[in-house]
Amino acid sequence: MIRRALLVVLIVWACTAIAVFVLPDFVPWFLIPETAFLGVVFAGLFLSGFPALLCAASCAFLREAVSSAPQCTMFLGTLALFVAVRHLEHHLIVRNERSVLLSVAMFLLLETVSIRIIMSMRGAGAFPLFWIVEEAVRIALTSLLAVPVFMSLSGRFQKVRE
Amino acid sequence: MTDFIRKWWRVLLSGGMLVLVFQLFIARGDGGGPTVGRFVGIDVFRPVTAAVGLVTRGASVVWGRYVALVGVETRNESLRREVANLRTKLDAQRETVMENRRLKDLLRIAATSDRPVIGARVVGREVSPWFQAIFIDAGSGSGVEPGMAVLTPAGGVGRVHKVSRGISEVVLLSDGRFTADVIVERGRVRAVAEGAGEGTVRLKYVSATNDVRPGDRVIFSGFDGSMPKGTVLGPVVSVDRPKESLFQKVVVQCAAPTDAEEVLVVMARPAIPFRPVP
Repeated sequence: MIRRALLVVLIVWACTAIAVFVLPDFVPWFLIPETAFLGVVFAGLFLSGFPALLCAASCAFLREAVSSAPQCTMFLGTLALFVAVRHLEHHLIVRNERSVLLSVAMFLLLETVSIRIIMSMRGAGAFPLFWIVEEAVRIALTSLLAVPVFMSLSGRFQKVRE
Repeated sequence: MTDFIRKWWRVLLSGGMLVLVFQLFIARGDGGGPTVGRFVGIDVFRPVTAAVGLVTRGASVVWGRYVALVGVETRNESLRREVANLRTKLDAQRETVMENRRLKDLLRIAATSDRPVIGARVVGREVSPWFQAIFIDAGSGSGVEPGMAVLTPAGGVGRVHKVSRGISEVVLLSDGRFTADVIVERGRVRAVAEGAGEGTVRLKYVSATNDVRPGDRVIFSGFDGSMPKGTVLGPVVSVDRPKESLFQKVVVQCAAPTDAEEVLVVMARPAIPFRPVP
């Protein structure tokens, strides 16, 4: 299990490095899926025990490092996301494509709405409609990407176990 | 047949010679005017010359287009590769020229600045949808500290937020958490600039009685110590005067390009101690 967690962490770190240091030069931000977020959701849904926590903590640390959010907020927020996903995992018996798609989209939406509310409370102006459309595209893209990636990775892990 | 040749060989030989003579006359084309002989010669020997010409042309086509072209494809391929290489080199050189120009602009600013500055390259961008920041390749190892101003020749870029050994994170002017004291150059109207996303900044607390118009240039006042005095923020792009409000809604477009590749970090601690962006 620990090897699987490390593999997920490795993939997430590599993808995030590409997303931060390479892709922004020629890909708009809303077309760059958030792989660290996906790593946390994957750890919550498909891994268990200490490896899951290790994987989630690494992804949370990565999000904290590459975000200009206030100190520790991204790390703690991501860990909270992990706990919520774990809770969902206990109740989500069937981990099929639709459930994965819905849970990833729901958590992304929840995160963006909560951060928007906090920013509005701190005095940030209303975001333009165009931004909302772009954010919707980002959420849809990340959720759609999650389905094949999660299914493929979990299928491989299952095969290895068998 | 043998008897016939034996009997008539002289006649045949002389006839053949005459044909040759005719042929030579026609082929040389001595420039003389048309004669009966020439017409006859042309008419009689046209099929022969046409046949000879056809064979010659055919042989020449076969030679030129097929036999002689063996190896041309290879040569073509190598030439194509060479052209592609040269194009790549040309692009690289063009890029170097552009970079040179940008660096010269940065040097010009560095030479005229009264504070020490260092150059840095933009190596990454924050991809989260809520915050706007860039990563530069100068960190605490180069003396960079949180709160230092980051500029380009076109204007201000932002403020250093987080610093590690070889890399720093810079919050851009258009980030919602960026605020600074600014002046509208023409009317000397003071305001607080706050990031509004999408490369724009809004000016807060501009009284409805102040004269601000689209196109006015906005500069940093330097009073809050966050950005050097006189650094350009950008031009006013829209002014809205709602009847029910005490203040105008002024939007400024950041002058510094959002995709700048090289920036300058002003190596001076802000006058007011920097508090990390809340």
